[in-house]
Amino acid sequence: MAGGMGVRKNVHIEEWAGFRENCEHVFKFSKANWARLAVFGIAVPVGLYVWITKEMLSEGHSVGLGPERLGYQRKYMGFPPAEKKEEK
Amino acid sequence: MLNLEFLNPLILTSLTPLVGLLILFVIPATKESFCRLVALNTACITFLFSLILWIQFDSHTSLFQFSATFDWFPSANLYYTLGIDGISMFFILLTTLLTIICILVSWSSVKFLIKEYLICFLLLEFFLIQVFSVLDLLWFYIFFESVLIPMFLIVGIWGSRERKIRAAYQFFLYTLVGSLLMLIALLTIYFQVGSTDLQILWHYNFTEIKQIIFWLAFFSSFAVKIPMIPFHIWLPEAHAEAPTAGSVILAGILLKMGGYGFLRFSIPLFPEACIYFTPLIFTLSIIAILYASLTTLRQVDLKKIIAYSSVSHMGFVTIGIFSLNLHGIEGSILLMLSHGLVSSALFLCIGILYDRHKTRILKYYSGLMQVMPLFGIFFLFFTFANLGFPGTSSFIGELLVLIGAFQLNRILTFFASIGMILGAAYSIWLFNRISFGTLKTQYFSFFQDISRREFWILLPLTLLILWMGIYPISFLSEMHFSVLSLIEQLF
Repeated sequence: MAGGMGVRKNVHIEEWAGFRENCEHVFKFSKANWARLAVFGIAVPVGLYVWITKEMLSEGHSVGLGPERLGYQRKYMGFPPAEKKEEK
Repeated sequence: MLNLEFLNPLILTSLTPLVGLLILFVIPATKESFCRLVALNTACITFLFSLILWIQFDSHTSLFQFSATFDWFPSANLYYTLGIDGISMFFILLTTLLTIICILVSWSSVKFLIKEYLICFLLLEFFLIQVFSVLDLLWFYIFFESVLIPMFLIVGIWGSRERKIRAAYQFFLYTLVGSLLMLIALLTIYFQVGSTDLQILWHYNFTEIKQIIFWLAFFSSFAVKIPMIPFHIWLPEAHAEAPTAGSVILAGILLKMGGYGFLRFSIPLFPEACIYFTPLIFTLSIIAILYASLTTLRQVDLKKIIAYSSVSHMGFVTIGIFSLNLHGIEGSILLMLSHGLVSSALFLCIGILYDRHKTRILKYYSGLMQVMPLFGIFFLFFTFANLGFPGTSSFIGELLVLIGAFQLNRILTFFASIGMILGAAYSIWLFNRISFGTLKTQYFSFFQDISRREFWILLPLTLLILWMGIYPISFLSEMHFSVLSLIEQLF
């Protein structure tokens, strides 16, 4: 592709971009960061999980229940249904 | 008697990259133009063979077509079986199309070790076609892992900055560690069932507890590949450091291997476990959509913006897959195909800017619409496709996924819809920052709109995105019976 149109780099932009890119170098386990981690890493996902599960159960969907318990019958993808090998 | 099995278009599609690769091996590395021509012609012939697959494909059956079985280790009941259905066919087509684009886009931007670079791409194409066509768990694993080798080299050798080595190792280690658990599960399955043939495994009923363990092992591999939060750290790094063609193939096809793995293995082999883990997947998907979208808004590197938006879109894909209904699964497949085109096109656009100005930092760019109008129009179209604008392929995919999700869980649909709004926010923000505003002439002296070659690279992607968005039935009808059979296996 076309060349010779390179950027005239700006020190401040480069430093700023480097800082934003390498945030792991300046990250500290401060109280505020622990709190953020607890909220966004644990509380929000757990809350969402509970909410989604409750909604699915209230709608009558099987959550954590095998479809076998709901009386399903396994069908085969176009192949003749061979004898099933039941696991002992 | 002549064995006509090799005239099977699937085998021809599989073997053509290998033939091209062998020809490249014997060409002296100094003949760079000839190497490029051989690689391009090989990729074009492979694409033509894959088109024959589509033309000859019978969409009225869910059976595997163009099947072929070869003895590999018969005494151990191990065979090499190939075949495609409506789910895998489009991934093969996407692979062959994007390989042509990757070779074209690297035509003049890759300056060193060109022969080796092209060999890596043809090898990658061969492995990817195998991943989407083998019907054997062991062979799937082998090719699934083999993809790492050429990709590791592409990122590590032809990447853009010093960080490329770190990115290559991160990519390699993440995916390898995830897949090791899958290998253990695979061996356990083999010793229990006595075969790794997919069609035999589908007839086998694993106990619920074993399904859960195997599902988790497979999940560890597929979740890294898709990638789902919190297994996504390798992706922005690998995207940012890879050359443009590497990013195209990463976003366009490699991410889809995880989704394909869920569809081909996790759902039919472990249906009870799939239902068991549905809330977990939904939670991780929503987290991926929301957190990745918000993270996208904070990025300063153009490639990382597209990389994080890919994580967000893949969240939609996993919601669709695990909604376990027709709309959801068809939507997720369509969304994967759409994302393969849209994100590839966006990476190409960023590659166009990087090739000219040698920087991907967002702060330098502004007002490009004034000096690169054609680029601006393409970029606007792909941005709209990325946010799921009606008439584009992403809209159909996301709509079907949301319809599928709504049948199962309204809260899930609500949060996924918020993700769509956030997607619009970061896409328009990105376009606005680059294309409008004052032209920053203090950083750039010269500008050049897209070249003829770049235009012809972007145009087919534009037309395909429109085709998929305006008339999706030509894609959905091909996969309909295969998806129905997949759902029938569950209930």
